[in-house]
Amino acid sequence: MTAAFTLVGLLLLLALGVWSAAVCDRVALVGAGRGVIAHPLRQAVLLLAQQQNETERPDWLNWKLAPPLYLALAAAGLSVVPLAPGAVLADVDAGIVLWGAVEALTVVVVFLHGWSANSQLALIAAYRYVAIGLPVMLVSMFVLIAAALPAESLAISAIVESQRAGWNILGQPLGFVLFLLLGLSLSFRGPFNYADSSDVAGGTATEISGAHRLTWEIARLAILVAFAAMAAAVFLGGYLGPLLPGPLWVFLKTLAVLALMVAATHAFVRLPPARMLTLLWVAGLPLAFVHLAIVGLEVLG
Amino acid sequence: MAVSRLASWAVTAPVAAFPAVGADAADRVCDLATDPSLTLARSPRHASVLLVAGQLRDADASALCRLHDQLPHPRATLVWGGGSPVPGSASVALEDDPRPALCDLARGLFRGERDSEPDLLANEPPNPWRGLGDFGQGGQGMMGGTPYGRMMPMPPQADLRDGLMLDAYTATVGPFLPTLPPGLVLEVTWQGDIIQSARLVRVPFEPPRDAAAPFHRALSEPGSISVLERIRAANHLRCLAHVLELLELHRLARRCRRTAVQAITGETIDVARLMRAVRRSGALAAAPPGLGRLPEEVAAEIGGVARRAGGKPVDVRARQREYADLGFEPITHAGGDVRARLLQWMEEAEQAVKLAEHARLRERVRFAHAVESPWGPLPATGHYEPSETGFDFTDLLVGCEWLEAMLVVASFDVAALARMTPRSPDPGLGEP
Repeated sequence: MTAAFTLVGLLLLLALGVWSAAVCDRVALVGAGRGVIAHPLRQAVLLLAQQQNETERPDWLNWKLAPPLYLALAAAGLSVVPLAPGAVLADVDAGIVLWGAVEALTVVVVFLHGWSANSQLALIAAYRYVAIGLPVMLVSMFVLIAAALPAESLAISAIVESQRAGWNILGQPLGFVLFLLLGLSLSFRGPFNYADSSDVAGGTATEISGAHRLTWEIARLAILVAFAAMAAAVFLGGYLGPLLPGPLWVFLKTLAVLALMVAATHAFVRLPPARMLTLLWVAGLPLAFVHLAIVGLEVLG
Repeated sequence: MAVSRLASWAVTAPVAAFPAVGADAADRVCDLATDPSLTLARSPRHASVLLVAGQLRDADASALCRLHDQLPHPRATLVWGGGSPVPGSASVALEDDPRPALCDLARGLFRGERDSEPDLLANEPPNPWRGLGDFGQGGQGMMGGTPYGRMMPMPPQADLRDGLMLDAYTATVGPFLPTLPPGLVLEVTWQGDIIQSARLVRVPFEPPRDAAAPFHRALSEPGSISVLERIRAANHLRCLAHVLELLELHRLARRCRRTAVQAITGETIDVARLMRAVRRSGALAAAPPGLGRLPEEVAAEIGGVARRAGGKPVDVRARQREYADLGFEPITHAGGDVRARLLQWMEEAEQAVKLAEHARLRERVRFAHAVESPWGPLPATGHYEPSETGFDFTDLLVGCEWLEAMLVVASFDVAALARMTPRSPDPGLGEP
């Protein structure tokens, strides 16, 4: 019974999160006008009524599979997030490792989507997404290991429980900031939009339309929701909080992280890939390693 | 049935249109982007309506047909001024607002009241497929033949920057790629995402005539400084908006475009605040130092923003008494690269608004021999001819990654690009 409730709760979190993120994006871009609440639904309906394009000799299998796989990865990532004590769909001892696999496979899926379209700009976008995605993934792994150290466990439930004395964001603010980079990269938004950006006319999505595009855009938002829920669990205490029930706390904290991500999307510039790569390898990774070392010393002390 | 009923409900969503921009229409299309009821799509695959804005060249007709057929069904075409090879397309005059017609077209399409336009071209590859397998594998020759779309996988030269030996790939981009100035067609050879070579095929369209007209008139009769400076500010803000779009700063780009519209309509605007927001975003850090640096002799001949961004305080306005009375002094930046040109646009836009405010409508100016337009000194012939230096701006793109190359192109106005071209890029193709 608990598993069924957890499943319903996670699906609700996913659906509401995707819709909230789409509304927030619209508000951030053009302001809160009339019809903004129904805007994502209207766009979705119009995309469903649209033809799905073809390109010349694409790799059909990978091209069509990439969006549902991306969506499945978002769902897999969300499955390790506990909604309440004992209410977690995939209560694996190595939840952090499962999340790491989601990160790695996201890079593969996004590359496949750009590569399989048989289109020049989509291919450029796919290549550079891989180049940027790899160092960001390494940064996030250091950060997640640091968050797991106080819990002495790789299970997300244990990490949430270890925050009863104080949320990780208070003890590891640098880790939280570095982890946010991963969210922008996984969903390729704003400063980390190397996959579907304007300079490559939509990048890996430049050749898609109709239901194909709808699935891809939903998957992008879904992975953002999964990331926000994970950030809420690992750094903001997950379901921990006074008065309100645990699942509601998860939802509110996820929404807060989502709002932060939307704000970051529009606030910071996207650097050319070479500059971003240098920044990540020369500054981001050493910073993440130093952060891990400091947390490790604190735990030992 | 259920989807079509839902689609009827959903048609109040913003109309997704892909603009195919021709002569004299760039500013108008840019201003359209400020309307929340309209989405200017980055790819034709993301649009329902093809908006053909302004007069196109004959040479662009086949590209327009290919573009048209890339729009997914249901689709329609709206011709906004000029002509179009699309039969049955709707049309409005260039002076009219196209938004009501765009909305009507989109609603008609999704409510099933209007038929989707059929393909203009046969759905077959332009070259025969020579590979034996589905993905081009097999065939004759050492590397499996030369199937359509694939080069021999032996790079003609080593990668210019990272030493990787990837397949070279040549493709033509433009004239409707939104990241390039309208009308510009380039033939680019990549290795990975690094540009190995670039060749100009067709020059971009010149600055819109209605924006340039007040500057031309100021040579023969006194013109309002306020009006001229507001046009200058609007032009610089639109150029800046395009760069910000490339850098994924869509919200700031939208603000720039909205401010450009307000500058033209004479509203009170706070450009200084906008520029502070642009600086805070880190936009200037996106361009590596030295990217797109223009040789001094070329900048000297191009003039305008490009020259002042190279550190030379050369501006026709400095010789005009009316501008001196307003305390005008040319702004300059050192470097002559992309970053310097962006800074130049930002600060000149701010300066232009200040000049317009100080001058109001009372101050008028008549230029003696030359006029300093937003695109540099206006040519006596009325057209921008290739410069005497013979400098080709595509040389600046070699060795750049794609985004860097787009930043280099976007950091010049269309007049500067037209002047930095070979004498005859592709004879007969550049004529409007």
